[in-house]
Amino acid sequence: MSELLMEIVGWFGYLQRFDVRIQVLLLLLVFLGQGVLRRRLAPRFPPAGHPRVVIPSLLGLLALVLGLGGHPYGLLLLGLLLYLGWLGLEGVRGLLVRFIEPQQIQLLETRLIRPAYLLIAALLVIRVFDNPQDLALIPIGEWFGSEVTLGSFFLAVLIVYVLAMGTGPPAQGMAWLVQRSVGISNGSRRALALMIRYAAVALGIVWALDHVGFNRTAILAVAGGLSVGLGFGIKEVFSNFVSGLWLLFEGSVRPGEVLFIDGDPCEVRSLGLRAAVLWRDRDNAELVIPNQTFFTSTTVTYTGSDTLRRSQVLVSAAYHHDPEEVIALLEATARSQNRILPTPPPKGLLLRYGDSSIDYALRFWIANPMDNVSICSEVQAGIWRAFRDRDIEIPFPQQVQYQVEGPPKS
Amino acid sequence: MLLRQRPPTPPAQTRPAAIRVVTAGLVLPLLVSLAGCNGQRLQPMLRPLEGTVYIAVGVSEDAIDGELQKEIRARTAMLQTTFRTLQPKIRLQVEVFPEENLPNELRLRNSTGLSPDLLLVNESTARDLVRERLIDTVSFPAALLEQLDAGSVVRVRRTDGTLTGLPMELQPQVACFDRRRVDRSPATLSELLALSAKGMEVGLSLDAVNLAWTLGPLGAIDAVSSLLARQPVTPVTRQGLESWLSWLRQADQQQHVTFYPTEPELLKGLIAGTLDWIPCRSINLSRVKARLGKHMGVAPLPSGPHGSASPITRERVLAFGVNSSPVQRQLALALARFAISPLHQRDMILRSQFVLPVNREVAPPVRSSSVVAAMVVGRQQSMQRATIRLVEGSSKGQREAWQALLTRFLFDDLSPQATLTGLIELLSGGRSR
Repeated sequence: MSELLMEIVGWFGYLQRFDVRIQVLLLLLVFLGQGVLRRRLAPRFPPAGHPRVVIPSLLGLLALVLGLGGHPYGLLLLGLLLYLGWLGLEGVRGLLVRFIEPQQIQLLETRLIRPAYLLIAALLVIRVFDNPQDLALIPIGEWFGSEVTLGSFFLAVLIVYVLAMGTGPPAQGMAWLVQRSVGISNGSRRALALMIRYAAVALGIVWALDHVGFNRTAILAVAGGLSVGLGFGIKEVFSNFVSGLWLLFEGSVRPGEVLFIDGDPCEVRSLGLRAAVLWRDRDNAELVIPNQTFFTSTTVTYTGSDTLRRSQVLVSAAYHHDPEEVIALLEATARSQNRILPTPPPKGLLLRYGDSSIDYALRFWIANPMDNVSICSEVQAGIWRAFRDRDIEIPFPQQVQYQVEGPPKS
Repeated sequence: MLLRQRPPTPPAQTRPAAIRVVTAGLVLPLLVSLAGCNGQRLQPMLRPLEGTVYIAVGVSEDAIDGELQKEIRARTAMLQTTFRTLQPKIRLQVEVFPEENLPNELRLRNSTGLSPDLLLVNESTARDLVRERLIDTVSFPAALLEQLDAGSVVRVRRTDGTLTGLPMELQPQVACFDRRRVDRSPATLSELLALSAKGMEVGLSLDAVNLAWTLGPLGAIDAVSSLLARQPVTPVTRQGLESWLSWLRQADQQQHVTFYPTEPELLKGLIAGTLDWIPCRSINLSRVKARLGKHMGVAPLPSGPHGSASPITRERVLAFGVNSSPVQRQLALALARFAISPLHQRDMILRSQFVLPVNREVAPPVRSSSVVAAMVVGRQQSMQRATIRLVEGSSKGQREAWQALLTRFLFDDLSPQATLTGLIELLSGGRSR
């Protein structure tokens, strides 16, 4: 490691050269001083207000001046190239928008594309100061019985990172193909995509360990020792991880499923290594629930075998109305609602004779469990209108208090 | 259960702080260097020079690996340690490049002002780099050059009297073998095949530079020379090449003779114990020695019916980059003078670096070391066959074509006649330099 540090420190020796110093100074001036320049130039020349115009123009101009003066100008050109490349990433985003969902583009951009560009830029800069192939051979230590070089370690980390961050869209593509050919549900497709990702990352880690050249026996020995520590120390993490894998295979908690959490229907957004993220429609909140919660407690789902939900609203009518007439009216009201399924047909029921009214229930089926509250609201509003039109009274409890004289005073 | 709400928007005032940090990180070293520069101008004349000298070492692309890099760094560290007795404030930073890629590398580096101050490369490479104006020519006092190997100086001297570089060391080609399985290295090519028939595992490289040693003993050296000189093809030329190809075919048909594309594969075979005898460049002996220890045997390459072996000795020279600051150039020149001084040249030999000195004042200890004696013989053999330098000076494309041609020949994909025709065409028409 000290060898690597010495190598990096050695790069500053290039500043002994006038040509290098002047290029570095100009780069600093352009990137840090362009704001001032833009503010001064913009009133007279509006295009100069944009850094996209000012920075490349200045770099190009300065490179030209240095070139005409017979001085090296490669560092300025490199700065220009990297800046234009950074701007070009927006074009890449524009292209991807056509094929990938915006949320995934955001993830791809922040976790893969921009980091990848920064990495390439860093390698290009190192490329002019040093020899990356040479640097890659620098040993950084002896791990698990084998000498690890900077290059092999870097490559291994890079591959695992790319697999972890970049396998989302390909895995989803493969899962989509499987869905098209086999006909699995959307939830199964998402679960399959997740499993493909896990498999790719696991293979990547195995490959990385092999590539770095770790001694497999030593790794097994360390893993054996760690397993004891893990059993006591971070068993919750492992418990959640294993629960997550199990739930994926079992299929009860997959992305897209609707579960009942504390009386509210919630949609599973993602099933991670440690926890599942659920979306609650009522207040647009995201619930992060450890995987083992689902593994050890009862889970109510509306999307296990199908997505239908049987819902009901309760209503009361006065005693003087004919129950058959009320039930027929309730069922007719339900049938008039668009979002209530015609089959199984809505069903009105007389539940009981209350203190001040007869209690009825209207039961009906809906296609999307997440719409339950809004549909119930529509149905109840419809019932109110239907009762009003037919002069059916919805009574409310009334109490008459009689004052009784007490016993004679003794 | 965690309830995660939308994260708050981060405050916007972090950017100026980040800019300040970046600015400080970049400007401070710059200011320090500027201050150092001003200080240097004020220094007294006799004060030691101070600075970093960047050294690029060119090696064959096939040979670059972690072990070679370690060797090169160790050698540079040794040079730095001894040179610091003269210039205590110098720091050497070494980079290893494939010699074939050096022109492209230097084009890029020169355009940025980041070219190395010194390059340790083959003499032929230095010549090419000067021709493309990628490195500077230099001049040294005649008295200093008179100390050096005359042949080496002649080859680096240009018509205007300047030098493409300063000869630093010689790397002859010798036979290298495992003493546990080979008692004595074969003295002739017939003996080589005879020993291989008895079970000695022989490895040969198809690379033109590495295989050139077989041209002399088999009478093909003059044929190759005349073809490279674009002289007309005569029956004698054909006969020489035919006998050489015939021997290669004969060797290939031996059960215990194996042809490999490049020398690093031969070395790996010898170190791993799958090969017993190989031709190898002297600089690689340190690696073999590290693995075989006292079992490493070194001898001159075998002769043949037409004379002694015709190996190629690599002449390594110190060339000078174009972007050095005045102080760095002074340091580079001082370092180059130190590298060829009797003190350092003797040190190279004594520390078993397996190279020969270019300084004539340093006599290689041939009596005390059979390895050095074999290297000296290898050097003499290469001097007798000066036209071999033309083979060394061939382009990468030519060498690849040579290798491809011989591979097809040994795999019976090409008849001897077709191979001969291809070889003549390659040597006579393809000479670009």
